[in-house]
Amino acid sequence: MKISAQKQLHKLKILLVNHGILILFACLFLIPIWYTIISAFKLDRFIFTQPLSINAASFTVSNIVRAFRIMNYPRMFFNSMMILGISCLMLIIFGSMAAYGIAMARHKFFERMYGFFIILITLPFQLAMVPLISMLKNMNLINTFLGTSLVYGGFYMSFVIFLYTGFIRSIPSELEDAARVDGCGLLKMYIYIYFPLLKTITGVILILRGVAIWNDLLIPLITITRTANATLPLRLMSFVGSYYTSWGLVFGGTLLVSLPILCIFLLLQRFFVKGIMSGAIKQ
Amino acid sequence: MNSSSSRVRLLQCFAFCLPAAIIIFIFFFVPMVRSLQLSFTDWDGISLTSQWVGLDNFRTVISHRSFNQIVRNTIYLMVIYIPLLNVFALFIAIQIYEVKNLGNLYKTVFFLPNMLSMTVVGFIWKLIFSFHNGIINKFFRTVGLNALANDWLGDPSLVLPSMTMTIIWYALGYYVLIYLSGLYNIPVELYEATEVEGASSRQKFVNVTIPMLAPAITINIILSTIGLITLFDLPFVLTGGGPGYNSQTIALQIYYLGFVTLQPKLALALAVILGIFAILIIIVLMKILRKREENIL
Amino acid sequence: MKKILMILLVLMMSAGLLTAAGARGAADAETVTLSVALMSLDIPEETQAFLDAFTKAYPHIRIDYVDVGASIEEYLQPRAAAGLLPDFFSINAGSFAAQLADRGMIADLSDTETARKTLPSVKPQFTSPGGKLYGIAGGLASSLIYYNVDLFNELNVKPAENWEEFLELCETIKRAGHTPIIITPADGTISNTAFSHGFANNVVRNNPDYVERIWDGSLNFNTPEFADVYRMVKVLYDRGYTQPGTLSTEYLMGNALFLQGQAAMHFAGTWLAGSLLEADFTTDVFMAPWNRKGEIKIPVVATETGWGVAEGPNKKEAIMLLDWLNGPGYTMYQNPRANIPHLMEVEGEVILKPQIQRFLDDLAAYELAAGLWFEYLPSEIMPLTYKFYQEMLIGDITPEEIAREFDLAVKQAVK
Repeated sequence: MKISAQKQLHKLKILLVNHGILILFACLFLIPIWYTIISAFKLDRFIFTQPLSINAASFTVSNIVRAFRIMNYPRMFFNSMMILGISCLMLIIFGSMAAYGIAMARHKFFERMYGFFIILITLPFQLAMVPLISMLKNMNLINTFLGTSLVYGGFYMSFVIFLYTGFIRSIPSELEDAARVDGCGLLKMYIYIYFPLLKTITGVILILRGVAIWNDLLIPLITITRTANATLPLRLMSFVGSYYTSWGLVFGGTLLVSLPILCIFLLLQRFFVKGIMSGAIKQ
Repeated sequence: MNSSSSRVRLLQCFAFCLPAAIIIFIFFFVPMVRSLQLSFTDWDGISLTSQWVGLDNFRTVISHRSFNQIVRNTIYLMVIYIPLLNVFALFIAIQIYEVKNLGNLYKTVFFLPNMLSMTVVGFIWKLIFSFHNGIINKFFRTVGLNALANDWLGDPSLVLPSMTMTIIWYALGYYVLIYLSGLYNIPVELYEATEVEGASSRQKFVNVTIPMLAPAITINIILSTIGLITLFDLPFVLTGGGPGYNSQTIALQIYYLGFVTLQPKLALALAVILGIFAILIIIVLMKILRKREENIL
Repeated sequence: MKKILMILLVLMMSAGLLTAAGARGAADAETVTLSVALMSLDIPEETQAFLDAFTKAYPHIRIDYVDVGASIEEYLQPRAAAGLLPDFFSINAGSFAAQLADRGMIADLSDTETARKTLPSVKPQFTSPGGKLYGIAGGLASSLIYYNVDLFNELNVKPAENWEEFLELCETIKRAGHTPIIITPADGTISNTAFSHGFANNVVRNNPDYVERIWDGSLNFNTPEFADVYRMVKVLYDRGYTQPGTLSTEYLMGNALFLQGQAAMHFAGTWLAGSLLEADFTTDVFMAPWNRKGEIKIPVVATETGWGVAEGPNKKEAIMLLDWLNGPGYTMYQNPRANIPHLMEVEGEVILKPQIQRFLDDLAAYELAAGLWFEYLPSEIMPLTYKFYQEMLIGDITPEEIAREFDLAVKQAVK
């Protein structure tokens, strides 16, 4: 009897205190988001006069429609998706392989290499930017999906290896011994035993780096020179930076650019939390 | 195991590392080394040839009349932002962990800002902070607190706190997720054991939660430090480093030197300085955090 | 499910690679694809229509068009470094483009049809030290003071003729409870307005050969006159004549505030005439009275962002586009912006706001004129120009100190 009363009390406390706190902060967090969304559907001259509300007089879809057309959305969406896909594939396959190699070797040389990769994580991309452009040009990789993806590969790979290595090291070594008794070679072990186990951390990486790649501006800015090959954020930037910015257009474009990545996040969300838990944590 | 088979094994391991290593080497390391070389020359960003000038570029960058202020701003942001972000993220993560219901919804809400690109975040917050038309000042004026309606981005004493707030709004969700996963990873038995001993919730927090979260804290502190040190697009759009140099950071200054004043040799020199600074900070942090982790475990 | 996704992804990527390769194959055929990078986000639809009309007139030329947003230099610099300049692009007069021209990366346009039609007065700004005409001005430009006529009538005040009158005017407006003038020190645009006019009236007046003297390092910036370029803004600010929240007001917000009727006057560029003269109240313009009592004004007459052509395989076609833009296509591209023509004669009818037309007619009366800041200052100096305003307004530096620092910085830059 007493216990259940205590439980009830505990539940009430959670309801009032925790939900209370969360709802308060969630609302604060949502105000700018709400502002962005409704401004996307508002005529320019109402964006300041009625910032947080919308009515029939101020409503318009022309921002979205115009942004869609000016950005050449379908084409840019395809470009962005391709770059995201190739980069993520590259990061996940090569990154997990390298982490596996490092973790399996248990050798000083590989430890040094690992340390070297970790140092690379800390370096700003700007440091490599300028010489990279002329290099890409010499390799005929400017304006290609592959070229842009390889730059992401080079820049984010160390971080991915860092996460994967931590995860693989947390896998009990009994597993490896057992596999070896069964006569599994390194490659077989990677494909059939380790890679399937990496599913969760892979979700983590897809979210952490996927969002970053989707929204990135700096790299496409230098690797892409033709509009036909541009990415969504690159097109959006020309709205934000322009001398003649229409506020509504920026908000409309923002909505269009952010929507796909939101969908991907919602799909990967459960994956993600499970992943972090077993992955990043066990360094 | 004999030595030749272990050599074969090492070679195999090396083969696994090879594709990643090649990509990193060609597409990041080589251009970086090239930049390092160029930072010691009088390269103008356009021509193919350049003259060795020793440490001249570094001297020029450091002797910039606002260099001290720029470094101070960067350190100020680190000192304010990193603890604030991590404490707040942990706090929110614990709330979400405790409610269980609606957890996914809260997670999504706090992660939403991450879906926007930083340029856009800077743009939106510039409007929000705007003196006349921003919703913050509109709110204060509506409730009659006119004295609180400030020039958030124009007042030297408010601009860095305002910027910190914006970055926290943007980044929080990312770190909440990492803390939350750390929390989910703590075996429930540990809590039950302390409950049997009659521990208060504060004791539980200090004796179980914090030690078990140590690795997540390490990761988050390091990630947030790296993120902040290299951050430039959000401040660039939000304040452009102003007023004066009151919100100029090292990363922002690199951008200015590279693309506004078109002095890439100076940008590279400053980027090299930033790189060294970043490596040092991370090494120190790693040392401290690792030691703390070991003490706890 | 996951397998299907994987397969889809792989398919998508191979399709993408194939189309990319295919696109390149097609470009090798007889048609020429011109890469065009323009600053024209204010008129995206009109620009597209203009380019479509061009391709219709020249079916063998295809256009790959990109809008570059706010900073053309930022867009071109990394591409110039990699030898990847677009074939045809927007370009500002200034040291950056001049440098590219003298290295043979931007074509000399002095032999083109367009150059022959261009007003001689807008050619020097686009001529490099090496004597190359690296760009064609996209029109004449200046900055002026837009004012709310209704409010002026209500307060019974008139535009000012000189600085002393201007201060009185501001005082009257302020007494009546209104904000006298909007300035925008949070970004580079204050350099288009207060700096350029201050420099014209304080420095150019006594140094008509200022451009040459800046470049050979003989112009002294460490003078009381140059300090005044900054002090005049400080006076406005200290007396409370500028809008509250001045320090965080940049270009876009400044325009929005004026259109909302938040201030009696707004210091802005002629390129904004299209939007600023169409407020809910009556607006008009007058020349910034940055001259002292008894002195005549030195107007700022400068060039709009113009067009340049890269030295490269498609130079001939790019010049065809240039000639078409300044010939049959002129009204399609320039009229939507109400740009002031840079040509001696224009095919088609130019549409100008009457207020701007009157301002132009007035200009003819002045013998001496000065350019806009970016036309004569070295690119290293540009961010300093407005950062100094910000630092001064928050009290970190005095106008005299600015003059000293500015002098050092310019001498360093031209060395």
